[in-house]
Amino acid sequence: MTQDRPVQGRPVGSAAPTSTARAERHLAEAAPAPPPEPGDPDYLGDIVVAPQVVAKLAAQAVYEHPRAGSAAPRMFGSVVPGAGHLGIRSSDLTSRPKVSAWIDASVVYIDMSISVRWAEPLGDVTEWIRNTVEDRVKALTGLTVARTRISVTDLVVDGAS
Amino acid sequence: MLRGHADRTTRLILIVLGAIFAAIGGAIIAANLSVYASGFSSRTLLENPAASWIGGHSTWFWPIAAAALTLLGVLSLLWLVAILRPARKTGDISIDGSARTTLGSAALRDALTNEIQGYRGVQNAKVRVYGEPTEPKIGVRVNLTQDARVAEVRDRIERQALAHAREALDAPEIPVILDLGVSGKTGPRVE
Repeated sequence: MTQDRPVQGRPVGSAAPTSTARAERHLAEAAPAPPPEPGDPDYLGDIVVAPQVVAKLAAQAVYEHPRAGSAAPRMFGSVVPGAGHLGIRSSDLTSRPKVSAWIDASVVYIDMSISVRWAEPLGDVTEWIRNTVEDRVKALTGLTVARTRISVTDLVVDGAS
Repeated sequence: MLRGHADRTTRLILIVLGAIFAAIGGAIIAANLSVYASGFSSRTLLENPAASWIGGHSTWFWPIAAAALTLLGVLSLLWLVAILRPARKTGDISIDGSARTTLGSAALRDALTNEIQGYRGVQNAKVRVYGEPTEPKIGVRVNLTQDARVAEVRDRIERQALAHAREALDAPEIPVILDLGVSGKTGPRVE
């Protein structure tokens, strides 16, 4: 599990190296104070967000879309026999999908396999999910979603297959 | 079916061969009509100047002929491979032109197959998705029952199943090859 400290201080990439001392002085004046380190009296501790939390937030966003849901795993191109039983996830528009998340510093990478109702425009559905996931993760955890990879692995007819 | 690339190669080679043979035939007809020189039409069959010429230059003619025929054999083999090799299957179809959003071709295949097989008059259907991830193509082979109304089923496949696929992918111009066949079986009847 990757530990994360919420974004503090200047954003990544804002302090590009410069060759002039004047520019460096200007940047030093403009940059906010560095965050307090452990041992400082002002140090209040770290907030650690687990990847599973981000994954659940993303899965919830898919669940809230009426035309997207969980997708049954596939083996050699076919849905695994017995999907929906014995703990194997089935393709269902009313279930949360399988989502994986990785946290690197304050950046999140998300992969998800989802099902979408057959004949719905996939571009519209996945764009809504991506925007919702990015906004929600940012709002609730302070982490920035760098990439949301969406794999539509099943197309469901009328609710469930 | 589904071998557009091989079909194009085959068609091109056959056109070239046909043009060569037509030119040879035209030249022989012209020679027989004494267009080039008089007396050709009155020659006997065994009076073969070509064979005499080859006999006179056999030291270099046959090695060159062997090399040329070997090359022809290799080209023929490549032609055969091109015809027999199936078109490459597509793994994942890109929805937004990148790898960020993809649709598994198996998912599209299953959805299309299930929809078409639900139509009245369809015995079974087989769907194949091939081509590049950003430029997929769809091949559909449908076996109809003996009593199916072919035009009606074809119209329904085009207006509903294939339209759904185009709508889902947001690709109104996606190429589709539709093969319809009639099986020996009649459709299920309820009495």
